[in-house]
Amino acid sequence: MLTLLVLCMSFGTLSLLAFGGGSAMLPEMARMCVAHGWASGDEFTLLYNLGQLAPGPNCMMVLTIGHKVAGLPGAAAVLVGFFVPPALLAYGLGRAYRKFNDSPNQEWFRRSMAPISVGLTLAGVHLMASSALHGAGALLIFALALYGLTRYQRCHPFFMVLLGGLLGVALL
Amino acid sequence: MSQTVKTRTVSPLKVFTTFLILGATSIGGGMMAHIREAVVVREGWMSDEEFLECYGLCQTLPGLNTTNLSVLIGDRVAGGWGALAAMLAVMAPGGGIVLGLATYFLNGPAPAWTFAGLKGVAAVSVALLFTAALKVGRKLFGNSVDLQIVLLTFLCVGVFHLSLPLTLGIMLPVSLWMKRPEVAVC
Repeated sequence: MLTLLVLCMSFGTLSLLAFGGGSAMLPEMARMCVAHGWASGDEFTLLYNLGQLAPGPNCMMVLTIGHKVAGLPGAAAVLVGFFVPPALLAYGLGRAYRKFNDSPNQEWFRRSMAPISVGLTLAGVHLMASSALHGAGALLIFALALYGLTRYQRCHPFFMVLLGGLLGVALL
Repeated sequence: MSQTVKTRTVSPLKVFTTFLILGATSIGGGMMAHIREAVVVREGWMSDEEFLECYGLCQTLPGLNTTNLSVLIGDRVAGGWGALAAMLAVMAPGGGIVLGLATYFLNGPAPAWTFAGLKGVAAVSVALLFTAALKVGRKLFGNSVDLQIVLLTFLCVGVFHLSLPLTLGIMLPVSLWMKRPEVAVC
């Protein structure tokens, strides 16, 4: 029961600090999971990559951390903790916004937040790379994906994910 | 800019099915474009301007942009129940699939080739995350103030391993000050 509460509270706190979307909070989420002993760094990477194979919002993999720690109740605790607080905030502010529309301050905040989000996301890239890019095969797939994603921007990213999986089976 | 709150007559059930399909079919990022396509173009629930207003608001809020956007759109077109329906529906398919996959990988002895495949997926994930950061960052890297904030934030988390609350506590005031309206005109 205590575990469920800790899961719910930890992911709740994280969700309210998650400015700049899901990828900006990856380093903090990984840190939190390792600190609580919920997942090792490599397990976290594995779960994150499973998440890449599922449709929908990009952070549904948080449920798997709860599930790993405490089964379905754990997944439910994370679901409530991680998704409900920001949703309530969005609901409340969305309604307030339609009454009091203060775009200059909002614009200022958004412009100030944007470079921070990019910095946080790059830290996430650094973290994922240090656990995922080991060996020549992985580096080759990374380089090919980077080339493919910048060269063929019209191509659907999921196609690259599938191709990476197939190449992984063949090479790694 | 101020807009009268319109009451619309979309049923929460219709919102639920629309977002359920979105949640099941948008894979590998780019969900915003899918949502816009469904809500603005196919269903005609709101104008492009209104969609962008919701999207802009989402970017200033914490949490996942997609779920926040679902809540805002659900609320606008079908009220409180619409907001709840949109959020649950957009998460349900991905949540179910990812739980199934995790159970398979963490509980049973999964065959070795599946792990090799996942390593391939991992390498692509890094590239995806990197290009996503660059796509947003490209507009910022030309501006020295923005670039400094990006690098400082990266140092805080990536090198000094400061926690997210601490990083935000340091960087948000710094960034707000560096980009205060009378200085940063662009």
